[in-house]
Amino acid sequence: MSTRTNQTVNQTAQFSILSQDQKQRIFEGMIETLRNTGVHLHHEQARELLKEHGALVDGVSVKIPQNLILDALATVPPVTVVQSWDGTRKTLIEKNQVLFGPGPTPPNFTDPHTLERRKYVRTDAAMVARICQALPNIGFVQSLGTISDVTVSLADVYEFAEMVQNTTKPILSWAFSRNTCSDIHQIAIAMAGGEDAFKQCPNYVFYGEPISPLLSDFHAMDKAMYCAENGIPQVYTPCCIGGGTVPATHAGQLVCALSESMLGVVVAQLINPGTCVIMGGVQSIMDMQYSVYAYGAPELGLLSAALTEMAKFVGLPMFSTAGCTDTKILDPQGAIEAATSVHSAMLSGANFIHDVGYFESGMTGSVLQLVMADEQIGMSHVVARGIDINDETLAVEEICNAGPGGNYSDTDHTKKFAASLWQPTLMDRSSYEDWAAQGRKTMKDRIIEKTRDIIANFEGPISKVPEDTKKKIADILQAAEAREAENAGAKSK
Amino acid sequence: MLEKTMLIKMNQQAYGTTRFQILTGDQIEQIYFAALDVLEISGARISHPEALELFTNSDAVVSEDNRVRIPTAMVEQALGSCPSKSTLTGRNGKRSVKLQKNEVAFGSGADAGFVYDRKSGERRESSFADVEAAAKIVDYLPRLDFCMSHGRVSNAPNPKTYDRHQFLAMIKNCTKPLVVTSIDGDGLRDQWEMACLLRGGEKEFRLNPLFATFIRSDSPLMSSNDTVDKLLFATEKGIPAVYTPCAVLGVTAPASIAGVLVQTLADALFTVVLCCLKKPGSPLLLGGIQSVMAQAKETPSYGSPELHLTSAAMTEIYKWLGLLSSSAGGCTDAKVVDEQAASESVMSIYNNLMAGTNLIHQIGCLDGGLTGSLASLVMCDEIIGMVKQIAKGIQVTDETLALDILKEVGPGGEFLSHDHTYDHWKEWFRPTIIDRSNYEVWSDSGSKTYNDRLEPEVDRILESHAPEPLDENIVQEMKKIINLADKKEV
Amino acid sequence: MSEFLGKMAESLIAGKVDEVTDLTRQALDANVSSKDILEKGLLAGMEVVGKRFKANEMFIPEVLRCAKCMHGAMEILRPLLAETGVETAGTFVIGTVKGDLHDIGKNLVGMMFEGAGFKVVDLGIDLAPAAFVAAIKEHNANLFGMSALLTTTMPKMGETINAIKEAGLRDQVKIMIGGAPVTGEFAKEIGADAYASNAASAVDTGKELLGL
Repeated sequence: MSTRTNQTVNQTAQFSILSQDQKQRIFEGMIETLRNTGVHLHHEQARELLKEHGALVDGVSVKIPQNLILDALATVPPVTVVQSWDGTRKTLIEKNQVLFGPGPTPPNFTDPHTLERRKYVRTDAAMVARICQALPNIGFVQSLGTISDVTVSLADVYEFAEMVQNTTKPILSWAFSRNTCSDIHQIAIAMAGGEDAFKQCPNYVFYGEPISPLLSDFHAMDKAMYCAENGIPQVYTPCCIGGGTVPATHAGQLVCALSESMLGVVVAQLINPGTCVIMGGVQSIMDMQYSVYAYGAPELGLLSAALTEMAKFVGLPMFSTAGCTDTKILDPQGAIEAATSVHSAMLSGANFIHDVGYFESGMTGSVLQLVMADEQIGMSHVVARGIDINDETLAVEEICNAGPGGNYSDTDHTKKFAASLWQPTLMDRSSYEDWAAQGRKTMKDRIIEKTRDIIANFEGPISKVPEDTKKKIADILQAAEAREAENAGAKSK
Repeated sequence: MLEKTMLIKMNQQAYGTTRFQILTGDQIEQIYFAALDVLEISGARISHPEALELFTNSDAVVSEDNRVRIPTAMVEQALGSCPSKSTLTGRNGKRSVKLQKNEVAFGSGADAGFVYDRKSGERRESSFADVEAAAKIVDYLPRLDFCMSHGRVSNAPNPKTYDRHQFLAMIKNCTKPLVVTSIDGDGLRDQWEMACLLRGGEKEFRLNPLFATFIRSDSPLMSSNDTVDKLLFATEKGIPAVYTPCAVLGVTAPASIAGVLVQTLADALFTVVLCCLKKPGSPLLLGGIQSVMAQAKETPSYGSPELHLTSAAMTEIYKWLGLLSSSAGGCTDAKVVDEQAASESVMSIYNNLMAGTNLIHQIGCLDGGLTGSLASLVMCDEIIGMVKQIAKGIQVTDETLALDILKEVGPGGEFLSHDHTYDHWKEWFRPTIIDRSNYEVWSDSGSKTYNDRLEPEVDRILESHAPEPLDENIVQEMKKIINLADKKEV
Repeated sequence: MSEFLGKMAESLIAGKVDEVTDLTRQALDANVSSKDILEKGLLAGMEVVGKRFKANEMFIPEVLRCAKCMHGAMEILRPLLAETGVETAGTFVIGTVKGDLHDIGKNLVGMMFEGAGFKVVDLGIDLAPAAFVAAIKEHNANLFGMSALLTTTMPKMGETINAIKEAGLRDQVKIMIGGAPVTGEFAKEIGADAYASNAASAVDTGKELLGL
């Protein structure tokens, strides 16, 4: 029996935009930018901390020497595990491990029943979480809206409270400030079953945003520090607008985005070496006709994939963007833009690929777009996972047995391998006659049907949440309300 | 101002374009070796007399049941004689379709039996006028490089000669190179003669082919006599031939992806050997459809992700062997231009472009190739633009890193009004049908969907675009050839 | 005279900043009135720019370059126009509210208003109501704009309008607001005069409010 030696195989598709030298240059650009241009950091305590460690501080300007960056990158963790509150699901944040999910905080929401554009309410958060739970290709959760029917300053906390009970997939939460960050953290601890359980294995990730170019406002940094202090894995990433808040050239945008996240990484590692910080963000360009941030532009896919490579280069996980669109109504534009960015992000190997379901350049969240993109992710996965080559799959024997023009329909080989072919849930492959007879449905019709079906019939894990945990959450919300009322009262005096 | 000394950063290697790879060389080799085994053990079957004679006079073994088994040496010798490049030159004189490694060209599809009527919106049989309309649109669209018939001339006076009529309809309305199907060897000959008229002779045509012939085989490893007729004629006259075996996983081919690749490659290599035996050095492109069955239709799915994967993989295999490749892209199982058509078109364009497929055809085909859609042609032109933008990759230079601009603008600054933005923003993709207005502007303008914008654009192109007219004398000469064929084939 | 002005309009449309400034000086030296330079040279040019922008023939970076030309020329003309009592479009004070450091949209709006011939006082970011009030007073603004990206800072808009009322300045100034979470409804609620969803329509709306 003969043996094959010296084989290199692709276990998945390979995709790359930047050579090693190109990545090195961008990395050097980041080092130089933080050293010589610096950032504006509107957080006195953070500035003090950096100053202690050798940064040059002048007012809000902070210039960071490269040894601080290199030291920080030496302590970031290669693996972070997030475990669901019911213990059933482990999410690994490690190089090239891909997950897709929605995005947070659009001001509007598409009602899946009336198809109207409306405000987002508390019950929507629970619904979005359940839909994410139901969709096989969605791996984490964000809200797709901003709750409008609760105390304005607690929209973030209510959102988390609703979502966390309706999914076991990790939530990337956001918060207005340290206070609500802490409220959310208390809820997460309640769901985990106590502070020790959380410390053992976190059950959520936090999302925060500096501002481009090269600016961290007080609350963004304050929350980042809170997360580092408490061992909460966090995302610290900007939304860079090419030609607006960052250079119009992609390499310059990558330098800027990398620098902005790096500030968060450095501070977090100084506070708690080994705490997980994820870089990346939303990377696209300003449409120069409509002055809109173009979520559907191909540049988004290109920039996101390139920044993903930079993340891998420096050893950090990547928060990427895909499945989003500039369309105002679910239509082929939404599909074109989402399919393009989804496939690019999949191939790039980013860790949390968010904003799936973002409509209207991020102004409206849509679960219909999310359900459509879930199907597209499934298609992308088939290409991304590549081809298994071995004696059995090569099927030389089968081919010779069947002979020229032979039939393979009933063979054992076919039975075995046909089982792993992709099954569409939203793609129609019927004949024209059958399709016409069944009402000439478009994919949009099928998307709407499927979405409504999930909403009506998929329960999710809420019945598994223990009663006393629900009580704890209610208490936390109540305490938060009291605090906000007090603050509001104090302000008006 | 600081004087600049000579500064150079040495030893830099960049990715000139985005890089994409499904298979390593080692994996391709495994598939190749397996295909060679199939050709030696099982071979292919043909009944074409001339082909059988060519094989009989070679080192191949021809058995009683017309089975032909081929030794590896013959395959590799044939591979060595394949030209690494060819070019298609349209009647506009531009050598615009470069058939060479990693150069990608896009074009429409062929022979769809149906189209959607522009006035009624109803589906009906396609006609000469539809082929003309599609050719016109292909002529106009900046990202389509070659023209296939799109529809079939089902209203041809003689059903056995619609291919000549198609040729005329296309050549009159499109100045770009053509890729043409033919009914049989005689049809191909007539098309070639028409092309030679335009080119100025046989030798001129060989040097600068006007069209490639698209030869489809539906039965793996069993080319029909018509198929072989066309292959042999094309080889003899130096007409670039696109050979497209079609295989359905689990039905006419193994259900494993690697298995269908092996079978397809064996079929392709068999054809390479055959053409080489006839006359070495004729340009040959290998392609086809390797997909799953669309169950209810019993025809291959044109939108399955398996198809996207096999297309890219076959392209990589052909590249590795020094061969030219062809695949279907911009096509879908959807019956109308909806979100499915968009998604499946994106995926097939994306993966084929990234893999470097030389000739990507079927742009604008709906319903698994049964219906041609002018709207989808226009949609796919935009999709191609978007995917090309990603394929272009990223340049990392001092100018693009813009470190000094970052310093100048500083933290909290803006780049909108900077010269650097003025200088570079036009490098981005510019949408045509895609709309990026905000909600207020969009609803004030009528809340249009993508389809609402797409259809009028099709009409606009049809009304306003006038392809360079073809010399009337040449048209008359071509018509003579066609009339002769019409009469002969009664 | 019309030669100068025609050329000036052309240079402005072509975005030639230095040329427009030079031509402005040359025209003044040739005794062309500042009013004519403003209306028949500069604004005439910007009108063409505005039309082309709306027709998708010119784009934001080009428009901003033209606005720069405008700005350069206005620096020279403004004192002269004031002397001779010619009315310009006015003074537009703009800024991002307290607690909010986002400003790219606001920056674009400011630059577009410059292109329309306004004097623009961009106060920057993170501005308390008092700072806005002071600026409106100091610059005698007739138009005022606020921007916010964060929902939690939107209440500052209402507070600012109240502060303007309390300072007795409400009648002096037309108030516009903008930013991603802001809506026309919200504008009405807090007593602003208008909301605009993008920079170009902001200029149109601003002019409308002032009856220009």
